Amino acid sequence: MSLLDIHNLSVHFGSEKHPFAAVDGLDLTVNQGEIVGIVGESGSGKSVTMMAMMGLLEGQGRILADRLDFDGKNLLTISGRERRRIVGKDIAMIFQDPMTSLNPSYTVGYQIREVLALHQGLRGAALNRRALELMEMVEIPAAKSRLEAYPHQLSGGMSQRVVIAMAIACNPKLLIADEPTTALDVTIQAQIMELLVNLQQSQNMALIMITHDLAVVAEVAHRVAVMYAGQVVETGPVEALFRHPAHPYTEALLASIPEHSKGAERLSTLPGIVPGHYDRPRGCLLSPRCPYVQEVCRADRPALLQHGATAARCHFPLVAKEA
Amino acid sequence: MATTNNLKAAAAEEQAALAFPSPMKEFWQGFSHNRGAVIGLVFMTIVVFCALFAPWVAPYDPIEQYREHMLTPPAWADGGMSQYLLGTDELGRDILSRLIHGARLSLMIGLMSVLMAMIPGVILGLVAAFFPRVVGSLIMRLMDIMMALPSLLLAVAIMAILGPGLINAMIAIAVVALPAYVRLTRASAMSELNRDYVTASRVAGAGTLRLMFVTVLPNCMAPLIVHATMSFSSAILEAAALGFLGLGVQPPTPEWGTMLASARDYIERAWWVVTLPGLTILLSVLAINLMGDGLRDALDPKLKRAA
Amino acid sequence: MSTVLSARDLARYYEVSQGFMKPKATVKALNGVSFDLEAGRTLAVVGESGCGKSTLARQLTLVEAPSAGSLMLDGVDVTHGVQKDVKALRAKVQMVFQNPYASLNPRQKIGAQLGEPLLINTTLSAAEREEKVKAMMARVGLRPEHYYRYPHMFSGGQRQRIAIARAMMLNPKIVVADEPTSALDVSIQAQVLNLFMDLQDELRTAYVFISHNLAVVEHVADDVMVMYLGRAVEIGSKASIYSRPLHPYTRALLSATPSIHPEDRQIKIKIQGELPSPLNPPSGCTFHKRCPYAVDRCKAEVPELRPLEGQQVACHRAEEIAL
Repeated sequence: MSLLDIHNLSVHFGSEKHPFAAVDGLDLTVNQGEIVGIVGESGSGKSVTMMAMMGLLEGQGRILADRLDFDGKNLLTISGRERRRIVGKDIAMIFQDPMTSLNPSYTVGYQIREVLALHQGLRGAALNRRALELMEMVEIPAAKSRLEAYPHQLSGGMSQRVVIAMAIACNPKLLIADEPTTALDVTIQAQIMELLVNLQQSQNMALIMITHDLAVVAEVAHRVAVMYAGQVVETGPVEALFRHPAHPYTEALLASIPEHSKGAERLSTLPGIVPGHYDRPRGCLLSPRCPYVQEVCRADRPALLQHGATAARCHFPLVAKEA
Repeated sequence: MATTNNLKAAAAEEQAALAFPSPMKEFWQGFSHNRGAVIGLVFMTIVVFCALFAPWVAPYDPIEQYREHMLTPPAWADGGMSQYLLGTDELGRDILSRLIHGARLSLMIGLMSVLMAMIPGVILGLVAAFFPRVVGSLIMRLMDIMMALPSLLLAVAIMAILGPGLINAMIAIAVVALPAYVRLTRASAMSELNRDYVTASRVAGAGTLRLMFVTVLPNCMAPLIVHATMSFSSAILEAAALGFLGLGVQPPTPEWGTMLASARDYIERAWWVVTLPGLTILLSVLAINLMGDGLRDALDPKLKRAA
Repeated sequence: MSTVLSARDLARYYEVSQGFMKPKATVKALNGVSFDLEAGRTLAVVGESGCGKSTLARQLTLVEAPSAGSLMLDGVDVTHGVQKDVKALRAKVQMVFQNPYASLNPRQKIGAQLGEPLLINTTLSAAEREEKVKAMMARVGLRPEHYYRYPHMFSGGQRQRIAIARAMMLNPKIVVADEPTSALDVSIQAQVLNLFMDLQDELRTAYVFISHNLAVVEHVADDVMVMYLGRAVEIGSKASIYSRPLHPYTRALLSATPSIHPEDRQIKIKIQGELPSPLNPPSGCTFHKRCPYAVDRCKAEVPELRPLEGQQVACHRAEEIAL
């Protein structure tokens, strides 16, 4: 059984009369000890999916799903109190900007100890010992003195390590990292990624990496889901998906990365922009921009079906054509 | 067929919702969202109308004394007379007429002192923001000193130097209000100065004056407009206070604060002579403050719902 | 080939107050940088945050005056020049910023913003200005009706096009682009990079392209300058820097950049720690604390930039550690 099992999840915003679906019929499973990458451009619904799952959208969006199970518990029906017990303990999250995800008014040590006291009921010396241990686990040099530091006294990389320490404080089963390295420099990014993968292995956590950086996902993830305008358009094992993308969007996304057009005069581009919340096409979401578009694409929205190694939402998947 | 039409209509509606409204329309949407602000606006429109057309709206001459009807209570009270709707004062002048004519002066004092504080305040604030080293800190220390004095005391001191009178009252109120404008302008200009578009203008060759007034100032206007509205009401209050102390407008000219002051001997005998001008000041200030709240909602981009 | 930009030992120091009654500290944000740039070519400046990239941009665009060294723009000495000549140079260097949401004036219509450089620097009439603005808008892929719109009505990619159009209005010799695509999505980034290169072909503009993304730099640059803590550590042609980096820091940067395909990946060179504080830079080579090859000499002696195998490198041990 999967650790996380999401089936047909939709998140609607706006009025009842004119809702728009930030997430639209999303399926996702994550197994224990697995790293899953979710890639997509801004506004593709990557972050909203995770917020919905963790119950952070209360009062803003309407969450509809056939199944939203975590570790055998249905997250849709459990009470708020029970959900809070799971979120933060069994599911933890790391955000993009480490500077704003720490409270500037308290020391780093206070914030770590607070998490430990709240979820694990640790007190006194045990609490201090565990906080120090966590700081050492995330490889913060001079951990003991850094516990007494305020967030503004730490660099971006150090702050992100503290955030990670807080996230893994309760030995979560699932860690969600939302663009964990986007705000960091290249050399620091490499350090943080390595730390995350090491922790994932040593703690046997599941890790969901949300990012727009395809290369980061390619390096660490086992499976990847590509999102476009609120839908998963393609999902599959990393190797297969990046080598033989079945969906034209995945293909175009890969082609627009500079690394891909080495030696070429110009980068290949996908014309147009991501459709907004109100001008989504009736048929395939990519149909206005797709180079292979056919009449049926404009009329019918394709389902997510297995094509070779990956599953794609496309009437004319690219692998089938090659075969 | 009907459903497709419906779909089309819905799509068109969504398209309309997506279309970007003009800044004026957007402003009105934000403003009208705040019910208190609209009520304030309606009230102030009536007051402004009365002020503009006072000679035609007011039933009597404001300084005409009807000696035979001194201290007549309002029409609805015992002994009231229907021709003096809000009663008469100690000299037999019609209170309603005096209030309507008084609106002219009170609003004028508010407007003029706001302008007299805002224009130099904005210029000083911009200068302080653009030349923070020497000139800027000089200006700011001066403003700090002015802010260290109790505002009414400062106004009274200025009036003592300049002598009583309408113009001098406006100047005194403006001087007291000046530091707030300087600080506000400087703070928002400083934060705008660090934005890339200012650098872009600089790179394009824009001179200091152009940067100040064309590039930066329009982006600082929102908090300034809100503050101006709020200080409009405090200017009316201060004018009333100065009038109450006998330093403002001189009788018999009708002005709300002066009316309040000259009626203080009659508090026990004739409540309306004191209450009615007080109530007018209270309602006007309340209305303007409500409008200011609405303006802030409509102009402050931090509170705007659309990101 | 004509050299349009030439910097010699360019430096910029900032005074930082350290508190009441303490002496002011000097931060050497830019500490002696020299390079030449020819018309129609692109110099990429690469480095992590705090390396002095943005300070360099401010010197080149004449927003600030350098503390030391000399700067020649189009044959005119800026640092020792007459005020009037310097003012005339303003129009020849333009800038494109990182964040397209902050670089456009929110209260000015697009037409007015694009026309501003013409209004200030030329004597064209209003009608002539409008005509020129509309021609430039068409060139960067904006529609004529956009002339009357405000910036908030555009997407990030469109705003960056507007910003590029504004920079190009005066037909500058040099455009300094400070991380122009790092705030954009991948597919939009490709469109904007292509626009940059198309305009360069057409107008023979020289670019100083500041970026931390080595994949992007590899696509657009002719020459690359790698900076670390206010100094250039390596300068060379794109081909040589990417195929045979001489400085350990360049190598670390290249190996830290994630890559989509496993065959392109290099063995990660782990560099320890974080960028030191520019307030208190390490003695000798500023990189020695993080460098895997550091010896005693690196702690004592500042390495000068010296020519080596067609490149320039600032490392004592460049020959020994060469691949």
